[in-house]
Amino acid sequence: MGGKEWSLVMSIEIALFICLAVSAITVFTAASSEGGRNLLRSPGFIRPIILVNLAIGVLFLGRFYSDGLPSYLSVGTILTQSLFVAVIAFGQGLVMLIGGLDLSIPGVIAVSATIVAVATSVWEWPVLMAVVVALIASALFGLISGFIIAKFQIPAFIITLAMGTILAGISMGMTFGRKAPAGPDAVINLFSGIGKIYGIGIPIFIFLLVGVLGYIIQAKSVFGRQAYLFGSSPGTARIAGQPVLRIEILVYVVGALASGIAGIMLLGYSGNAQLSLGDEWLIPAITAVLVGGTVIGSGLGFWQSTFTATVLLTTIIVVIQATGYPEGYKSVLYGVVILLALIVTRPDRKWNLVKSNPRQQVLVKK
Amino acid sequence: MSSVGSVVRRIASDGSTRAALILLVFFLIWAINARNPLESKDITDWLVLALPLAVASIGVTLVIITKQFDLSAAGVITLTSVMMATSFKETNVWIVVILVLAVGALIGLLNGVFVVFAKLPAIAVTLATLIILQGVSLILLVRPGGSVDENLISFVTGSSESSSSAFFPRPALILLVLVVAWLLFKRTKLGIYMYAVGRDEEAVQLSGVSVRKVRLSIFTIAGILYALAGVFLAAAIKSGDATIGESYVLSTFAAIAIGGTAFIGGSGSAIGTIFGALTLMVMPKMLFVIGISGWSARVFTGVLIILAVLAGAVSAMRQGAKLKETTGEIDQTDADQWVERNGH
Amino acid sequence: MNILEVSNLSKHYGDATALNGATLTMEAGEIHAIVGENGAGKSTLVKVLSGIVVPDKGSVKIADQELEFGNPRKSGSLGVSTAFQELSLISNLSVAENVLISDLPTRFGIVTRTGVESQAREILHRWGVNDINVRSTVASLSLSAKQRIEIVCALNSKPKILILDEPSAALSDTSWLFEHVQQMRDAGTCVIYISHKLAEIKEICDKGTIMRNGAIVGEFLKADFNHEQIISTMIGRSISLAFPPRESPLRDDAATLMEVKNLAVGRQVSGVSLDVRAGEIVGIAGLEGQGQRELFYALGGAIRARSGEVRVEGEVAKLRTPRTASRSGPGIALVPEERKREGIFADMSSIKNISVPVFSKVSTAGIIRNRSERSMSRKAGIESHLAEDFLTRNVGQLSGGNQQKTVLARTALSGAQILLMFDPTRGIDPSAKLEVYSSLRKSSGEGVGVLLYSTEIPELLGLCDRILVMYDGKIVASMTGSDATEEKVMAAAVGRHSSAQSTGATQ
Repeated sequence: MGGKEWSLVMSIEIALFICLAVSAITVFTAASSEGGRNLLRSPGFIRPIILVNLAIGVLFLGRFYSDGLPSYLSVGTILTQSLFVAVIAFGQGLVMLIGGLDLSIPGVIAVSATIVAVATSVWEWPVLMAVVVALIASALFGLISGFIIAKFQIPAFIITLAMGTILAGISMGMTFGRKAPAGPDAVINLFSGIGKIYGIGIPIFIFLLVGVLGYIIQAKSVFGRQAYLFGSSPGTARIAGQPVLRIEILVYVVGALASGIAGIMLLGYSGNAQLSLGDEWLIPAITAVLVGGTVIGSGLGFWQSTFTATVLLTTIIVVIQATGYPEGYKSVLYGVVILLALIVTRPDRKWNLVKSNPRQQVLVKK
Repeated sequence: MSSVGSVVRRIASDGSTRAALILLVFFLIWAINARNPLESKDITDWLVLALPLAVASIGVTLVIITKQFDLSAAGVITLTSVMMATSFKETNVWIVVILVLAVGALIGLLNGVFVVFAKLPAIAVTLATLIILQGVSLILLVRPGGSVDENLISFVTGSSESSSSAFFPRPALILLVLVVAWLLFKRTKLGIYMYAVGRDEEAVQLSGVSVRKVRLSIFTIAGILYALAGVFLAAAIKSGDATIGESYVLSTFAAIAIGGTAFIGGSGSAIGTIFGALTLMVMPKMLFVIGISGWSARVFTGVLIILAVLAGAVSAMRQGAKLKETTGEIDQTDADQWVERNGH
Repeated sequence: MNILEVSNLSKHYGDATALNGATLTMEAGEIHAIVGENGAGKSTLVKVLSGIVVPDKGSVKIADQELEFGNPRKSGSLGVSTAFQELSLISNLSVAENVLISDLPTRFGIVTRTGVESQAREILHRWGVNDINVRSTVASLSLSAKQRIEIVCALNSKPKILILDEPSAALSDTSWLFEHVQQMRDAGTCVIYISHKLAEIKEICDKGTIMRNGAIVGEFLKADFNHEQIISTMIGRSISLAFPPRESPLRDDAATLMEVKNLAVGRQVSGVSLDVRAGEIVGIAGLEGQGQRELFYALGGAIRARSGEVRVEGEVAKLRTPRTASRSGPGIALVPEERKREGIFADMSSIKNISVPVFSKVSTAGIIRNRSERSMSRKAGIESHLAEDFLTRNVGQLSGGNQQKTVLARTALSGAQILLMFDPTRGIDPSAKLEVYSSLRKSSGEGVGVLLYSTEIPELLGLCDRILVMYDGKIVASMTGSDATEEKVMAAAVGRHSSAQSTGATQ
């Protein structure tokens, strides 16, 4: 309904063209001054602009397949789905920054959603209490994985994979195999897109909020900085007196917490806590992180790029769905996009001479 | 008493012995608590399911010995099993098998090229491969279905020759062949270089052996093994299913972990991995007969994997510390280990 | 006949010069020593010959054939065989597999265990090694056994040119080595013998070449062997750097900041005792691999000591991690050896590299205040002579000198009163060196105690109040600034400390 109000004022095409124009003007203005040119060279500035404009371009391409594209409704859907990808990608991004990979995300999502749904519908807890307990539980699971990974130096993906199985089992156990319990109305209202402010779905506001908060945590906070330092060089971080063990564990805690939050959001979006709630969101989140330019185990990567990459990816999904190609093509596309992103964002080998020439290392080690 | 303690400690420190013990315990629990005495059919069922997992996990073990990772096993298995169930129906099944193995080799080689030449992180590359192959499988076969050649099924499961296979089930025979093949492989140049590359890439380079060639060959052989696993899987389930491979992402690594291979490169054994695969496949049966239900079985699996990985890591650390003591070398600070594990 | 002709070989690593137009020739049937200080270019020369390092310029001819660089196999086929200082054995393979690694015998593609073992055993026996079980894995062997295997591998390939890089470092008895080296020489092989131990060289070598700063600076024959002359040529007349003078003399009543008693680390360091006073710069001299790295890393908390005690301002310090070291007493900070892996965050800006120790000061409620981070980093950077333009650049893109200034700015900002500087001027250009020296002086003027290791003895002489010389994991000589000379330090460092003690040791 709200969408209609907006569409009376301005067609979606015009709105999107304005977006394109604004970015073009921004780029040209920046290019005209010395400081601006420096800014343009920084991937943290230019990459988000490129990604958003690519998304708009893809959306227009959708017109070839469906007359319904682009529309206010489709933009609303894209931004709503971007919210879930973004929240998961935030945690996954930090984990990948420090050289890990969190495959427990679907499990954490299922557990957190199940806790909230079961606690409110079966045990009749207040919603807030259920949410808090779900988040504490998520963080705790992150703590366990993080501790094992950091303390015993075990590849993250194996531990998180096993943890994911455990969590899926726990969620199954909590529902006793019955029909998936429904989420509380308050949560459904917030995240399903039913609730609106000024005709714009609440998830879209939350999406923007997540963008800002993510930026503050990853780019501005001490914790975010420590994650970058660890990712850039764990050896240096350690010699420089950073609490490396604590940093590494905390990253997994924050990652799991983000997944827990995403679990509650997805519960609201889909209405009930199915076991497979998180399955389809893991790969888009990893892809968003890589497309955003984060290099696994490095100090390279910007939240704003990951954030905008989520929009691009969900746009691609929505357009593909409109084309009516079978599910398999989406999967192939994700894989290809990941490979391309890896190749394009390959860090400059110039600085890695020492790393790529291991003989040198050994010599100095003696 | 102390000698008993030392024997226990020796057993606990050797990965494949540890795996064999776990397998034995689980098997006994299953056999003793089973409602009816176990028949050869039960054993065959178990082995038929364990066979593809064992073969695929050996492939991943190879890659892990060279200090890389490979998540694509599940993708290759899915694709090849789907191909066996859907494609080239008119062609002789053995030719199709060879074709499918070639597909596996090609995929493995591509993984290797991305990792070795483009120097991309193996975990991300093979994740992409996994996703792509799952997608391709879904395109080939939208809904589970198709059929698998009878000759292949009877060859793999031994179902038609009931009398001879009753005593010594066909899958066990294949596993035996694998063990022999592995032992031979350990005595080939490539097998020896594989262990060497995983432990000390630089030293291998100094001796004039090409590390790149070794890595590429291992990724390729691993790809062939995944494809072979796909063939066995198709024969086991007698049809195709584009989602069947998903569980292999976890279970290949679980089999390796339970098999006692530490994820540090330069060490690992196929026999341990086979024990691991057998353990994983006997576990649901074992849990079922003692009354553990679906969800707690999952939790049990996860916990067992984590414990297995931990045991491997701790014993590897111990051995490292012991070596330092005996040879007096500290050529690695903790910082080096951080860097190494975060691998690049 | 010249079997080896090296002409005009140059190799640079960033700012650092490893080889600078090295030119030399060698003949078949001679044992030819190459001597020089650390970093003189010996190891790089060895690696160029062995096909591991590709030089920037120059050419190498072996028996009149041009050597193709950067391919160990090509070098091998021209008859170059090397026993590396850092040992190229693979620890998880058996001795037999290591001995035969580049040429494993196969039958129908299978490497038979007995075949490999008997062949390897035969090779070891041929070279007089009878006490090593060819079945055991290399990891379980002692260092000296490993070194002998490494040497046997090199001997066995019937090389035209046999390169031995510090072959006696782990050998307690050299007679085995000398016997076979002489045998090889008599059979017409050119043996390149690289060692710090001049006594050995005098005993075994026919000729010698002296290297300094990547170039050939002298030669000697067995007949005219002269310790003092060789040492002084090795040291040379270094480009005289103006070391900034001490502003005020070290006060006699300066408080002791750090006291180390009987420290042992692994097998590399044993029974090391030393102290560092406020405002003092204590130098550690030593050839590579004498335990100085382990000493520094243990004091900085980066590796654990085996036994011994470290007191900081009189309190026993717990040095479990670099973090606890930085928090014990007035703080210990390590400037590490491997700048790229342990010193810098290559893909982050200098500002972010420098501000690491002061997160609590530049943040409010866990959020970093950009402006105060910037200003603190800027101040520290400029005090360490880092140009302002470089502050926002990624450190990985800066020169080695500027990278090191970033590291120094960070340690300065940490406020640590005890600085452990491990070869802080390695691989950086002369002007950056001067700036590092002046930062060092400035810190010590403010009462910071510095423990400085440098491969360049003049640097120690120019900066330190006291110099301790390490040899084989122990401190073998101690000299105060005034009575220390390069010759004395060098003599003690090559193990001739009896003479050093008689003239200058105070301990």
